[in-house]
Amino acid sequence: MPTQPDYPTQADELLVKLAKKSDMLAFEELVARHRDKIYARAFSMMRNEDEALDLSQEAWVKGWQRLVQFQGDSSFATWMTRIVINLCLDQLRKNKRHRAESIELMNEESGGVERQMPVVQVNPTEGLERTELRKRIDQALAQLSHEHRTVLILHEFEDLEYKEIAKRVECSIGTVMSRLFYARRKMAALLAAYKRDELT
Amino acid sequence: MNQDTELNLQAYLDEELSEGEARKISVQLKNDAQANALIEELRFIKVGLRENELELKLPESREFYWSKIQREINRDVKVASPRATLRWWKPGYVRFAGVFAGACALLMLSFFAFDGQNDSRAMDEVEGTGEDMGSITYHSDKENMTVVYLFDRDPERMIDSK
Amino acid sequence: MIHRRFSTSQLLSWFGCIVLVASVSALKVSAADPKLEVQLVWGTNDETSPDAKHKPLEEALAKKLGMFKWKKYFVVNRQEIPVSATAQKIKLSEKCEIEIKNIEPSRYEINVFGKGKHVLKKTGKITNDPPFVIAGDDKNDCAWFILIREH
Repeated sequence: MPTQPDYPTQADELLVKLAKKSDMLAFEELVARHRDKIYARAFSMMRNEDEALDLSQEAWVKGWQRLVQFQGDSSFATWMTRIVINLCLDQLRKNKRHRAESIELMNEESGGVERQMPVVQVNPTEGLERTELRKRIDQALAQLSHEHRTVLILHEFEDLEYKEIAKRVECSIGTVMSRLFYARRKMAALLAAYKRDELT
Repeated sequence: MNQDTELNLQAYLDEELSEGEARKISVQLKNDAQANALIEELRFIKVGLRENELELKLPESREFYWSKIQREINRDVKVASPRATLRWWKPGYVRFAGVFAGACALLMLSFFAFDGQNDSRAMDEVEGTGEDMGSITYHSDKENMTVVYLFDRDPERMIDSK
Repeated sequence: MIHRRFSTSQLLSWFGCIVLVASVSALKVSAADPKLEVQLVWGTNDETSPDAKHKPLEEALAKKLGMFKWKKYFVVNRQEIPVSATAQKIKLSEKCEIEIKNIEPSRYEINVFGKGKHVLKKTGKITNDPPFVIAGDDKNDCAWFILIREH
């Protein structure tokens, strides 16, 4: 009788191979291994725990359905991240229909206030411990609009080029560039403000 | 500095410019303190973010999270798989029919042989739900606890605790 | 001379019979009517329940529910009931009722009704620890739980 593989010790590549043959235990091990990362990406984009849970679950179901399409050009985790990003982008588009137009977005498209912000010259994160720094960055990210945060996440965390971001977000490269510019300047200003608040 | 210049500086930082355009910016940066300060700010955020993404843990247990995914996968499998055409005359099916008949015979023999033996566990874990509700049962190894989670097939309707 | 109505041996015999009958009755009662504790619990991420009567769930049980995403659990209704071989309906809230029947020692049949509609039948063993749990989604992304354990 063939013995079952020891799933926790197997590399992703083998688990994917087994899962493609409908081995659900192998797929479950992949889910356990990468669930935090996929959930974290969904949460960083949606900023809502429940939506992030739902979308990450949906991503795993789609991953199972499309497994035959995964050819190993990227890592399995990267492939799954792309799936959850696309689901998040779809959901953000749906949500936008019900959301009031962002004032920040209007500002940015008219060459707004961020151009008047002074350049931040002192390191606003100096002296912070890693955990505290990460929390502060996350706090600042939460303050951006969905549109600005999405572009920043796709560029800085997912390492996508302008062209790729424009394709996924369905806007022009020029819009990607100005949103990215605004988002970075806003982040710098927010981090500097947190530092100032700390000192006063 | 106008907006185009600022965006070009950003594109230079992100290595999105052609070689010629990048060379022009590089020359500009040798003499333009304001441009340098801006690029440094943008670089600070770029590097800072890349190296400091907050790590999050999914707030549900492994078993519970997986049970919901598995339920959806199984539901989609039931919907997607077409009915197979049963070609009974094919050798595989004949073999199968033979094995099945043998198993049935053994089962009937066991009823006669063990008649009267009352297996009290025969009804264990039998569940039935109304047609409007589905349920998933899973067992948490950590807590050694069984949970039956009900879900409404129509999300608009819900049992509530009030 | 004092005439006694009954002899000592007769009295002792009667006493023995009474004790025997009482013991058998007690056994029958304790075997037929095990007690179950049933709690309707509300799971939420809010710090407090809007209803001040809802007390936090005991820590040991709340810890067992740690597999779920909710951080706080409040007891909406708690009842201790003797359960017999005859099905007994218990109202836990305006919209939630359960019916419990004792089939065998520590084995029960449980039927859950939501808004008067039958939603679940479950047969199985229930002990003191861990509790048997039935759960479902509630409004505003909260959840309800029915925790059942032998008392």
